[in-house]
Amino acid sequence: MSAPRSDRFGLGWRPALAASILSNLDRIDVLEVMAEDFATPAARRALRTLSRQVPVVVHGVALGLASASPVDEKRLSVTARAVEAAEPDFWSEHLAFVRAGGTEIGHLAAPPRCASTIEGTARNVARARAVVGSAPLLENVATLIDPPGSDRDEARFVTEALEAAETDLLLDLHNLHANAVNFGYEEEEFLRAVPSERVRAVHLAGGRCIGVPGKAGASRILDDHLHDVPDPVYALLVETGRRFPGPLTVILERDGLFPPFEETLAELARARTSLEKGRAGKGEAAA
Amino acid sequence: MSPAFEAYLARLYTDATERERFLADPRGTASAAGLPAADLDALERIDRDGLILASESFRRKRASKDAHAPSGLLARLRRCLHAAIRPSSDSTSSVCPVRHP
Repeated sequence: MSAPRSDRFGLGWRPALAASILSNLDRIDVLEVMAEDFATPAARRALRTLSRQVPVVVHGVALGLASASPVDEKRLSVTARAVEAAEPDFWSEHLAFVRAGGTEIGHLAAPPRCASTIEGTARNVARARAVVGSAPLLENVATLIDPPGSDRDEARFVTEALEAAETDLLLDLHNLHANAVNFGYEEEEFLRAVPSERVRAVHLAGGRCIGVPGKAGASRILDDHLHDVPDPVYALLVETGRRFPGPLTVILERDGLFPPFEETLAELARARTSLEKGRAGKGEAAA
Repeated sequence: MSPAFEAYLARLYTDATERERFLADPRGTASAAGLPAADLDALERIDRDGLILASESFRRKRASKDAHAPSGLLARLRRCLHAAIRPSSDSTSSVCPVRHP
């Protein structure tokens, strides 16, 4: 795998967007595919065809690397085959656990931010590196619950996990924004704490507020990937461009309620402008 | 934290009955599950609102996955074709108006 030499802007590959994406490849630098979608030989043949048309990176949601328990070998094998088919510049997974004790949670759960999770993450990433051939970038996750069993803040946890696992960060700016709003800290504290040389890629997405049952007026942000990227996330992208000088792969994630595709491309264009502003040391004006 | 602690969290996130029992008596319920004292201390301090919200979010995710179970390349191509013919335009955006300490 080789590192890209300049900033790139792309979309998460979703079947519902396929036709629109393929007819607009001149405006999309890179695509991010989900590893779990390519479990069959036929699907991987399609992935090889796609990766010959446009650079592809591979993203996983099923490994649950941030865990005291060992990574699932069958799922790791699926990821390895997807990476082999796509030949991406990098692949990525989440700093999350998704199962434990035989129970499938069904989505990404923020792990206890503690030493044993960091040690488990390092072991699992080492195993992933051995099977896949390279280590994944690790992504900070959104959470609606302040993770039980934590003894350090998110910035310290992420930084220590990256160091222990000897890998780099996929910085999800909406996850960062959601957690900062939900749990009352400043996003900039996190950005200041993360080692600048470890930030390789960025995710952008949108979410919505959900009320807290029985508590009028209280709400938290749910990172549902069903809404437009909000203004504060573009502002964070400007700050990201200012703080992290290395080439970044910026992916816009959208999982449903798809708007007309021109609106998605406009979001991608705004992302380019925002990062360029940060690179030039300028601020972000509201859209 | 131990694999047992993670396993108990997974159970709290997915088992509504266990969660109700736990919220009524966190220490007693977690103790009955055999967790050590340090884990019980952590669970006694749990973010109760967050537990309810996260569990509901996970439930919806599992339900959505069940409704859209992996169905192979043919189904994906069918969905792709369908989307190309009838693109959705339903979209809203919202941002939480206030930060919560």
